[in-house]
Amino acid sequence: MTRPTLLALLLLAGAVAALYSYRLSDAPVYLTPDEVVIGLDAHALASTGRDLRGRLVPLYFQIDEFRVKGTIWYQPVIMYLTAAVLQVAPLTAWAIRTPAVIVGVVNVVLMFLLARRMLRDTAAGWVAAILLALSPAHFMHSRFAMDYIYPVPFVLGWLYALSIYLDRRQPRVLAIAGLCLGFGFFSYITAIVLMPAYLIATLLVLRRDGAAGDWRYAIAGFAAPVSLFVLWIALHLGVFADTFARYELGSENRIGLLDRCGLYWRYFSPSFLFFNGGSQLVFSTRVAGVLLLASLVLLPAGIIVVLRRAASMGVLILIGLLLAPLPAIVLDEGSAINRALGLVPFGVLLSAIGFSALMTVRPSYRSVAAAVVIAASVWQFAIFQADYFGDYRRRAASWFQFNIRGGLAAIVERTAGGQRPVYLDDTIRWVDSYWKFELAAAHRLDLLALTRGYTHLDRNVPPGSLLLVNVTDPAMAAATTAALNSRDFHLVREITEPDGTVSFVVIER
Amino acid sequence: MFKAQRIWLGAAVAVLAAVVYGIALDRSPIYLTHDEVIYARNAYSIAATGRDLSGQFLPISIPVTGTFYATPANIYLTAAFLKVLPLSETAVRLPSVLVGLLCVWLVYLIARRLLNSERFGAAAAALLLLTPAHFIHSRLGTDHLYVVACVLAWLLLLVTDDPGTNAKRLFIATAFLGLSLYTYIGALITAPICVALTVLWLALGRSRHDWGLYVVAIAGFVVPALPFVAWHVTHPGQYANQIRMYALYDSRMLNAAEGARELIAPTSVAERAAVYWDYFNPSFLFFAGDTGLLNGTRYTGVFLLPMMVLVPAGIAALLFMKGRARILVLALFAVAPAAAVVVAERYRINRALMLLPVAAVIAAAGAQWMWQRRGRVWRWAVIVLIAAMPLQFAAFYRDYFGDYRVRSYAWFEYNMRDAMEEIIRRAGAGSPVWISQSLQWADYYWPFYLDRFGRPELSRQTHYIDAERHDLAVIGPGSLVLCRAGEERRFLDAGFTRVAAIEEPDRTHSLSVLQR
Repeated sequence: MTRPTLLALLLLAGAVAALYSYRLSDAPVYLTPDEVVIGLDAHALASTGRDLRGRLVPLYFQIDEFRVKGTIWYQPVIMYLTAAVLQVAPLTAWAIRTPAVIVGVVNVVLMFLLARRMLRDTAAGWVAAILLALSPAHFMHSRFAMDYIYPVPFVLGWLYALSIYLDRRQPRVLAIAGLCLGFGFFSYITAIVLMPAYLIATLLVLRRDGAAGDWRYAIAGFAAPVSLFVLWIALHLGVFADTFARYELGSENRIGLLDRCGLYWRYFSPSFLFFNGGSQLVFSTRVAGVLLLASLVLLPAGIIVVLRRAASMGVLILIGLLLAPLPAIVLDEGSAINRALGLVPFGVLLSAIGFSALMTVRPSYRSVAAAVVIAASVWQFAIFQADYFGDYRRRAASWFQFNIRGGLAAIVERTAGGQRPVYLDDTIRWVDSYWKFELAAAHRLDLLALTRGYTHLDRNVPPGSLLLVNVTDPAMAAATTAALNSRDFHLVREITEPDGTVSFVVIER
Repeated sequence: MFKAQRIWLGAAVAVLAAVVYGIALDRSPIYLTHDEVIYARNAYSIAATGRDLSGQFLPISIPVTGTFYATPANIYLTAAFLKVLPLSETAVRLPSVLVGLLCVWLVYLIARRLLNSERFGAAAAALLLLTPAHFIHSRLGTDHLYVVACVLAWLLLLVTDDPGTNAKRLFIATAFLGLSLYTYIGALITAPICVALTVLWLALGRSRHDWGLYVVAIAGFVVPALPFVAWHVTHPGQYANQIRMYALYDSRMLNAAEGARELIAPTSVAERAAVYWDYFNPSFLFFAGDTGLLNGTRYTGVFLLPMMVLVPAGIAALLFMKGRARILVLALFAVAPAAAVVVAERYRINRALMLLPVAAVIAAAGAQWMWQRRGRVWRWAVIVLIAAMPLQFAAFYRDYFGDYRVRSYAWFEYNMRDAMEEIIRRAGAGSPVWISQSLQWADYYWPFYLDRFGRPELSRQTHYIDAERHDLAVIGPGSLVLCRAGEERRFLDAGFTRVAAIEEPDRTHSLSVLQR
């Protein structure tokens, strides 16, 4: 790599880091329950080396906070990376989201390196990197303290190492490719299915390219980290039953095969990929697709090129694209980009292939074409970003459980360092997890012992008690009004949403 | 095979196809849909008097109900049949059988030319013949299939000409597109797209710089379209009514330009992109089919299962082929759901019937490609896939004439036929007939069956009644009433007697004939 290219890459990485970390505390507008739980466990790990259940440096993290069917087990990569950040940063929203930003930046750098190497075309590398960096789905998921984006760097690393191996036939490089898949196995729950699938695809490519003899290096690289999983499973045999129960995989309510075919097909719908990105407002603004509009032309072009040339890496990437929605289909989830984020890197790579192929028509226009694609992408992203930091926050507030932390922070502030009984409305979902997070962040875990839940507003609480009330519930709102009118309580603070509506109130006895 | 043998074989196959497609038209679909009744009544009127039901003489566009206007082609063809046949379910549906078989023959010719093979041309025809959705729509007395015949004629003329371009044939080809405007309202979308494809066709050909050919192509479309355009100029409200009917935009508030802007707004584009994609959903195409029981049985897809392999193989084969004909076929396949996309209706195969013949041609290309590959396994795969089709079709056919009738009767407005026949049989010269307004479309079915059974004079004795609001006491003795089974209690309490309980195939009592 030349020095100017390296400098440009570093500049790009810096720009992406700045873009991705801008207003990390309040965009997404609030923390999701998953983020809170991950933050709590990572904080415990950073502070004590143990998870919330007291296990020392666990491989997987048992989560009981959600009180759902079965036990949830969270993957280790996000926990340890977040814990590493919390070693040097306080427990805040931006701190627990920073690891995702780091992952996002790494993805962009790897994408450039991979596309440039694979296509032997620096312009295609820049196009790929920009398309990934400005992809609405990639941008949004690089700002969550959740692990959906975590498999991507391992996938890109695997592809990069494999592309080097296919050029140079160095077995140790193949082992590194396997290693990337092996470590990626621990990045997100879908990786448990997808990483082995990618390994099988690797073996098929090796066979096709006459390198079948080197398969043991790929497997050894993969098996090394995954052996930890095997050992762990042997000690936790109930985890499969827990996971099946958690996702209701054996339930009679699950959809049939035909409906699954339909769901799978819709993951490749132009509407989903290029226009609205899915229906869940946590993971999509609904006014931008998963990928940028430039891919509407480049992606089909890339697919046609792959089908015609049938080069190994191209076929592998196409297989990756086709496999990406499978975990979501297993879970009966349609339009859930968070479960099918593999669509993003594979989609971008195919777009880069398409770009590179189209440029062979008029090679002299390559730089101009790249500049046009990038400019168009920047323009589209600017529109998306304006909405993301603006009206999207208002539209999505309810999906992020409303401003619970605002109410809890008001309570902590009101205690002014002292000890006061605290009552939390039990109709607020996951309020106990949010409370623990707030207390840990404010170093006021002493208040935990004084905290109670309630379902009906009780006027017999001790004087000085602070209550958080969910006034989006009409019955609670009416009870609160009556309590305030009776002068048994007085209003401490109204907690508002971005659109000005009041969702919670903090009242004092 | 000698030519004479081929001709005899072709004739035998044609007869067999006609029997398979044309048998028991009065049995399945179980009853006439309201659309069939409406078209048939207009056809019967035109056959008898030259005027439609509204009194227009040989109209170009036929007002049907409210804001809906019907295109004339199937009505005139049905009228031609009714000139020689008595009014019946069979006579009403026979024209569609003819059009369906015509499409099969056109597909044979197109595939034979495209693939340069008699054998695979026949395969394409067989694949279309065995397509459940094509079979179903060849037995419905509606207009959806007519535009397909016109577009196939256009395609045949272009493909036959390839690699050259004959101006006369080009004119005739696009003239078929102009004529298609009179066949089905969706042609308003399909025909201009096909004209655009014709321009693409010319641009890819040897004569791409001969501008005269482009003029010829457009003229061929415009000339037959002129009366259609003239009609709309003289009936300006019809366009707005049609827009409202399909809820494209509020034509009362927005003019055409504003409406077009609304259609291309981002949310509209996103929604329509999703609809478009869903028309290629394998679940829809190969497993479940149309969501409505009018256009599908729900037990098979639009196509039979082997097409799930043959169509993708065909697409791959055409991508590797040379020549502009393959581009035209693939492009036509891609734009086939356009009309359905504009009205944003998902999984309604009647709006995208062009998919069927084009898929058959593509599948035949796939079969040929597989057959020509090295390795016996490919040929065995083709044999197994093609052999499986009649087997699956047989199961579909059995269900179509069996349980499908039971599942679908509600979609076909219930057993109006037997109910009305019962009343007609009982009604004397002066017997008043009262028909409940809860029976939607009864005001179309009743006159149809009066003509069908030769009692048109009973229309003068007929009244339509809102059973909830009308004072039933004023209905005189001897009156006959037709109502839903669920509302007969009111009549029984008012002193009527049930004289016939009209049942469906599953013995459900759906309609009642009562008498005072």
